[in-house]
Amino acid sequence: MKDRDVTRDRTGAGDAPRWLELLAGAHAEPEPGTLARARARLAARGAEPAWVRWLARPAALAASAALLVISAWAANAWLSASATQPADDGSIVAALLGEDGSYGLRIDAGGTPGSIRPDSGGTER
Amino acid sequence: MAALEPLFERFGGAMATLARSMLRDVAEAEDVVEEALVRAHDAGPGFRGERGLRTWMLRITASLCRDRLRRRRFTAGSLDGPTPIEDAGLRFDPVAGWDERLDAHAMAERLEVAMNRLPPEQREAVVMRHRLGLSHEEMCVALGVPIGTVKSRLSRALAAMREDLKDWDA
Repeated sequence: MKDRDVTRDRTGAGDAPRWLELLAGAHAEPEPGTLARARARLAARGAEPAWVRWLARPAALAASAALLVISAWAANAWLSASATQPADDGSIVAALLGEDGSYGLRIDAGGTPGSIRPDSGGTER
Repeated sequence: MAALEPLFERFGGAMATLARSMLRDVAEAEDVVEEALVRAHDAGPGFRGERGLRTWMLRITASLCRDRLRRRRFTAGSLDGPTPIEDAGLRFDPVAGWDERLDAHAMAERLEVAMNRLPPEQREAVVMRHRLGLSHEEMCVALGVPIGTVKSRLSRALAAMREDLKDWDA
């Protein structure tokens, strides 16, 4: 190829050893089928919808990663906000537990061992 | 798509030489050249031409070769074979001005083995500079590294090759 002849003249090796010139002696020619395969790929892609072609681009990966980061950040922000919100006193759990931990039952603090609570089913003598 | 043919005509040789020198596998190198053509076609509208088409095509090719080498788990194109240049799918032509009393081909084969013992980033620098004839500035663009890095890679590569071939310098 013409390209090689031009480039070989520009090999300014400077103080490099002379044997480096031998490297320029080895070269390759591409196989003619390579161009045909590249063309075939491009032609096949022409039939695909634009969004499918876009998905195959590196930009699609970058966009997906960006979306993932944004979603994770938004979810984290949302969860943090709900964790700092004060408990809803009107909820069923709060109503059952109450503030004294009685689970809705009344505790008689001054009760004696012999005393009978009204809901014990016992009779008072 | 019409632009592909002139690209292939003008730069296909340099692209194939770079890919085969790096990968030492003809089929894989051809896949790289094909992929580079497709990528150049895709990116064509964005090409500004500041640094030249050739450098740009070699940059795409070198990047694809690096990707393949990173993924590779084996060494293709054994260096132990009797013809390390031909094993990589390369052809050796007589070098103008070389002493004809010396067996240039045999020396080139030994040189090829020494070059392929280098780490990939040094090897690609040597191939670009001494096989494809890129200037330091063109290499900066093709490799995507500063000129100091280009020079240090070349310098380290040369030192390693000199060590490998020290009986030649003696």
